[in-house]
Order: sequence, then C-alpha cells, then structure tokens
Amino acid sequence: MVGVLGLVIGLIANTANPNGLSLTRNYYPPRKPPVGKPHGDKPDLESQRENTIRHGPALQTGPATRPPPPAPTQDEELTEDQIIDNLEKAGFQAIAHQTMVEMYEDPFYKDGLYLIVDARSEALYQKGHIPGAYHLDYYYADRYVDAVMKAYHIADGVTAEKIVVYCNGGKCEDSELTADYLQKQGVDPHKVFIYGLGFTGWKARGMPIETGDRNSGNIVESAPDNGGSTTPEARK
Amino acid sequence: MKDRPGLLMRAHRTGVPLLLCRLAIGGLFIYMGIVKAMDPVTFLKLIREYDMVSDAFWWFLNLSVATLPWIETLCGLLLILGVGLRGTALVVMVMLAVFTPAIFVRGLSIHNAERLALCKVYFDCGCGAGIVNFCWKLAENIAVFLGSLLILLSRSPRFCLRHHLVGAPVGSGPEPRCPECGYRVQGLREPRCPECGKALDRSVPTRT
Repeated sequence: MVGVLGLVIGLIANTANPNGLSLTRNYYPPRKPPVGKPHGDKPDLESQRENTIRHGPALQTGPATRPPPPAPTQDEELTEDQIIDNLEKAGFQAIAHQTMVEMYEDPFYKDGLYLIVDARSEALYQKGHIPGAYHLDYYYADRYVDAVMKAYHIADGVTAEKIVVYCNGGKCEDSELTADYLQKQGVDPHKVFIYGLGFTGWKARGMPIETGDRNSGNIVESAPDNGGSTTPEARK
Repeated sequence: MKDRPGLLMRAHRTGVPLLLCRLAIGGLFIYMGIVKAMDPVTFLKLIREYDMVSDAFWWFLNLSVATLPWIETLCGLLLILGVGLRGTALVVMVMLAVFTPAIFVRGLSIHNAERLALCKVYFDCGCGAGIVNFCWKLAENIAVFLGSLLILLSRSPRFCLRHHLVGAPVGSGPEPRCPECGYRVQGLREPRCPECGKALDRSVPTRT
C-alpha cells in the first residue's frame, strides 16, 4: 500500500516538476551508424581518422607556430589521444584541443560558420562555458534545440561548417548523446565533432571561459590547473 | 513472582529507542529522497552506471528514477509520523535489499579496477549523499536495514500518529487495550500488558 501510494505520488510530482523526467522518452537510444558507413557495416576507422581533426591543417588565421599538444592535467584520467580513440571507436569525429583553440580564434567562429555546443546542465553552463557556445542540455533538449538549429541553418541552403559538441570531458557521455541527437535532428553527420577534453580540459589549460548566458560578455581568464580569476573586460 | 524485565526490554517498552530509530531513518530518507527528486537527471545517470536495467527497458528505468525518490520521501514521512509503520519498514527493507548488493558489487568493481583498498574506495552511489566511502555506505545501509527490521517487528503504537488518525483511541471500542501503551490486551494469560508490563484491571478479559 505504501509502495503504491508512493508510486502515485511520484508520478504526480514528476509531472508537476518542471525538471521532471519524460516517461515516454528513451534517453539512451541506439546510436546512429558511424559517419560515412551504412548501418551494420564495421566502422572505417581509417577514414574517420582522416575526418578527425587532430593536428590537422591550421584554420584561416592564427600564429605561425603552435605549442605542442598539452599533457593531461593531474585531474584527467585519460590522455587526449585515448579520449579521441574512444570517440572514434564509438563512431564520432573528435577534435583535438589545439585545433579547438584555432577554431575558437578563427573569425569564422564569430561569424557563425563554426558552432560550439555545450551539452552540460543549465547550472554548469551558467557557471562557465566556452565563450560563445550554445547550450543544449540533452536531457531537456526541446528547450534548446531550436536555437541551435536556427544557428546551424545560416541561410537558405547554407549551414554551418562545423558543430563542435563538448561536455565535461573524459568519460562524460553527454557530448556523444547530444552529437547523436543533433544528427537525428538533421545536422550533417560530417559536420558534427566532439571536443573530447571537454570543459574541464579547456579550463585546465587556461582558456577563457564565459559565465552566465551566451555572449554575456562576462569572460573569465582561468589559470591553468587552477580556478579562474575575474577580469571585467572581454578577451580580444 | 515473575522476574523483572531486562534493561533492554524496559528501554524498548518506553518506546523511546524505537522513536529515535524512526526519526533517524525517516529524516535520512526524507533528505535523500528530496535531493534525488530535485535532480532526476543526475539520479538517472548514476542509476544507469549500475547496469541493473538494460537500455531496452528504458521505460522501467525512467519510471524508477521518477518515482523512487518520492517513495523514499513518503516512507521517511510515514516513519516520523508513525503511520503504517510496519508496511513502511518493509518497503524500506526491500529498497535496501535491492540497492545494497548493487552498491557492494559496484564498489568491488572499482576496487578491482583501480587497485584501491576496499575502504579507500569512494564513489557517488546515487543515494543522494554525493560521493561516499564504500565501507561507511555499506555500514550505514546495514544499520538502516536493521533499524527497519526493529520497526517491522515491534508492535508498539507508542508515539504513533496512526492511532489518533485512524485507529481506535486507547481504552475505547470493543477491543480492550492497555491504558499505558495502547497494546491490544484481549485473551491474555495474566492481567499484565505484554508490551509495557503494566498491571491491568481485573476486568480485562483473559484466557482461561
């Protein structure tokens, strides 16, 4: 009797809770087949590696020399290469940190030709995200997907060149779920990438982070492997 | 002359140890239930890590995640108020019987994977307490299980709201009850309450 009453109360409370779970949604559906391969075939890892941007050609602008790939910080369980390998085996295209930085600094990013999507929760997004990143919490995707798809469809017949999805990095799977979800919404799978190091890796390597809403202008300069210090001005 | 009941029995008959047990377990379950109910997505992710339910039964997983926190909260409330105590204690024991072995298996797998001493294993068990120590969590669950067993086996209506809401008040109605603790005293061998030991009025029917 207690169990039945609890069940009924739970169902009512979950329905009334704005952050309640959808009882009719499969949050972990079977994944789409790997990029470029029909369903059922084995993934072509070699062609995926070509697609995966590791230390690929430099994007349009940026300094002539780049620092070597950063070593994992003490909090990271996996190396960047391990994370990228795991993503490739799961059928996703991965993007390395160095290329991510280049993309972030490329004018195409500010022009909207490259999109970055944060797949974490609202609370984490507000606390800090990659500057200019769109928010798409996979578990409440219907609240956010319209804005992302609108940004993806730049004009009639013209879509963004790349969508890079990230979450916390490491073993976090929210970016994979979100990438898969975007493909099911109609985004070209060849344009979807996952930044394997995630926000944890981005912040640990001293990259700028933005707090609050997207394009709020509240840019924080984070120190490598430490917490951030606030600066009132946006990074140029 | 009958021997004086032992210290433990006398303490139990006051109803205070049972009340403390109910308050502790009830408070814990209310807190844990509400924490999980407010963030069902985190609870979903953590429960999924146990691999107890295949992704093919996603609807069952969703239903469990959506309702279990509220079942816990309700159990906590009923324990504190003293309503439906034995049924509530049984539900609590069933939940612990399901999740404690799962926590044990998970802790063991982390111990094997990371080669840590068992009592140095920390992980978020999904109970609402955040990251916990494996050994402490097991000990806590076992203590709560035993406390719930005590509540299940005890028939004492002391400090229970139920008798004021639902049951017949002490001393009224067709069933004779102990005026001290409200325990049913019909058909006794001697005019003494078996629950609290109070000597009863000779007018209480006894077994011949």
